[in-house]
Amino acid sequence: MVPMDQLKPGNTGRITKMKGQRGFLSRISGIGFSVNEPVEMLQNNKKGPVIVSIRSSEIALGRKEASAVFIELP
Amino acid sequence: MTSSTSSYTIALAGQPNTGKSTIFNRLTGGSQHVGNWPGKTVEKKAGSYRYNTTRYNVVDLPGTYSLTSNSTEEKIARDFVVNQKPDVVVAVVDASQLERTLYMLSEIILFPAKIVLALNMMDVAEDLGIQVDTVRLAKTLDISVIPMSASKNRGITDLLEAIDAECKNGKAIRGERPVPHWKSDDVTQEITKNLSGKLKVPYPEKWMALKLLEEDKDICDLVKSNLADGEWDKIKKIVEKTNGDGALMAAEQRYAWIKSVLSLALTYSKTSKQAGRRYRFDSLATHPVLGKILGVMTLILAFIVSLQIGRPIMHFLMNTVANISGLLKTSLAEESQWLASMIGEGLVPGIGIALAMLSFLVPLSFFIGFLEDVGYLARLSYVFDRFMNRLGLHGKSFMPFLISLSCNLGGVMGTRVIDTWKQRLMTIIMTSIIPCAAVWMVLGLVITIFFGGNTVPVVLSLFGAMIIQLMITSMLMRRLLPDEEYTGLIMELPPYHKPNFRTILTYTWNFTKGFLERGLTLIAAMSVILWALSYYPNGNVETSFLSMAGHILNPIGSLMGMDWRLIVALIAAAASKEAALSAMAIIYGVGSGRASITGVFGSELSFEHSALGQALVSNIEPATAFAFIFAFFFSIPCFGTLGAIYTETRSTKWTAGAACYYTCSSIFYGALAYQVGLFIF
Repeated sequence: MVPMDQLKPGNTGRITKMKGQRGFLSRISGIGFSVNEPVEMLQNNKKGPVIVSIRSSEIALGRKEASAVFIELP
Repeated sequence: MTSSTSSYTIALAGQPNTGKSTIFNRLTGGSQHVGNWPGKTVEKKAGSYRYNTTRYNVVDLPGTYSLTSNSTEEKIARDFVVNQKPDVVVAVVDASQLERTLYMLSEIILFPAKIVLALNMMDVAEDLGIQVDTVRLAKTLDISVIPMSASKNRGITDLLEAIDAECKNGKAIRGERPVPHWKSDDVTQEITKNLSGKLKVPYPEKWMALKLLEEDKDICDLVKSNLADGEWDKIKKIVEKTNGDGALMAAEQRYAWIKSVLSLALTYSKTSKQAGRRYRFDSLATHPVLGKILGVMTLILAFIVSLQIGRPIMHFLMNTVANISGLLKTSLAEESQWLASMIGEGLVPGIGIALAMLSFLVPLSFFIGFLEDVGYLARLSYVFDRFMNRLGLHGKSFMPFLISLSCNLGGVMGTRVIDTWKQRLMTIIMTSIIPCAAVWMVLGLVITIFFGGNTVPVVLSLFGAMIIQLMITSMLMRRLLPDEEYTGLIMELPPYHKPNFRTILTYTWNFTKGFLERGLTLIAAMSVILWALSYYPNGNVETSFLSMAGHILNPIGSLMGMDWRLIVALIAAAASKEAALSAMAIIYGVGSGRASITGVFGSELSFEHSALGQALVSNIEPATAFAFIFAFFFSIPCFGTLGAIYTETRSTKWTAGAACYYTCSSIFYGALAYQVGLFIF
């Protein structure tokens, strides 16, 4: 299980956990994230926000936000 | 519900980027009102249309991803559905991203409301090889489903018909709505059991159970106050067992429902481009270095083109205003001297400036609307996110800041693309700190006159102070604003699509209308006030109330080493930043001896910059000039910007607050710079 900001572009995994305040969890859920859903890292520049693909949408997440989503790699 | 059967209320709900505004524009055409939600600073769009002989009032609910009480927008949307009981709720979803956009429906469907599902962007879905069996979907959900492509004007008539049929013949839903295929998990069931029949509130129990699981603050408070203590404790214990994962469990349930509903209705063709599709352009647009360059260049281009379009109109307006005000002045002068001066030198030039600004801002708002509509703005926010984080903001605030370098009013207006209220308000207030082109014009002259050889260190110290001021303001605002809204970057990068000019033009028109209605009135009123101050009591600026005010403010001026003359120049800067120069020209005796400061807008500036330079150098000490540069740099936003702050926040409190705050900070930086100046020079 790794925080999502550690994923390299092209990596695909399943969401196992999301940690954070109520406001964060509800916003990230509303935009398409949920436990057990597969997610693919599209862009990760080591600094700054990342871009992932989930439920056939591209979502940009701040680095802090991405590190609160935990991924299980196959 | 509605007392007269001849009119119905329709609520339009949906996530951002689902084409909700396009549908709203198609339905209501030109009959839109942009106002405020009662007691809130969030924009409310409403309109109406006739279908056959029936009148339909349409309310465009704020575009949000869910209906939790996390943000003002979400609360507004759900309160409207629950309390105003619209006759039909039209839920708009993106057919090409059904799994995600149906999330909003998964909340609305639990309410006892009549629902029509608008399956928008069918054309995009087809291009991607996604087939939606709408008949099957309608049957599964037990609601009307209308496939459409609003941007291509397809399916609108079907939607009108479905709304009409639902309003007139649809079966009313009372109490709990049975939702097919919904599987509640054990925890939700347990909470529902504990709620059953015990509450007299307008919300359905299953929906409330999920909100309790999510620990939605409003619903928790509501349930708590309606239940006996023991009962509430029971529910609290059930929720506590989830170890804070309640919100995730609720979301899982909703997405599981969406999946089971779609499993029967959605098929992907073999050629589906769905998986992992990325736009080639995005590797440039979101590149950490190239993306930034592209973004800045795009905005500068938009700015230059707007200026090119606006300039001839601006020139024409300036000439016309000068002619009109001249004409009015001579013809009214026979009647009464003061009236002639007020109209010719106060009101007409004031309106002239506002219209001149508008000639630049209308094309600019068109370009912003364009960039947003095609999907590029989201990429721009992405590349500048990290940079803006340092100021307590996120990427979406970058575009307004950059536009502010040309014109603060445009910057304030550009905040419309920011979707959360707190972030938007912070950007509206902070963007006035960015020095606009007019500020640089005045400062360019003053800095060259006094510090010719040392321009670079002076400008750098201004920038340093600006960054400090941005940080302080950001910190203060975060203290002032409620902390419940989540402000980090969680943003969809919508697929690029062809511009829809109808949507863009409506965006531009709504801006123009808002500015004309509110901004113009404020600018005209302020111009007349400033005119009166500089005209009375005897028609001479040097002995006017304005100069008296300058004299009275001498103690404050002395903090900055300034006498009344520079104070008057600072006050005049409030009208528009260039006015500071005109004011100095008149006061230091190199102007053409006008009765009023505002009068100079109506005509060409008739003074020599070199003459002004000499007059300034022989009258002002370097430390004072240094103080003036800082006080001017941080001075109160011009009337136009204040007008825009009011237009955008629709809050007198925030507008007046910003004016006071920036007046104080102007004095503070002026005084500080004076002390530093005394030390250095």
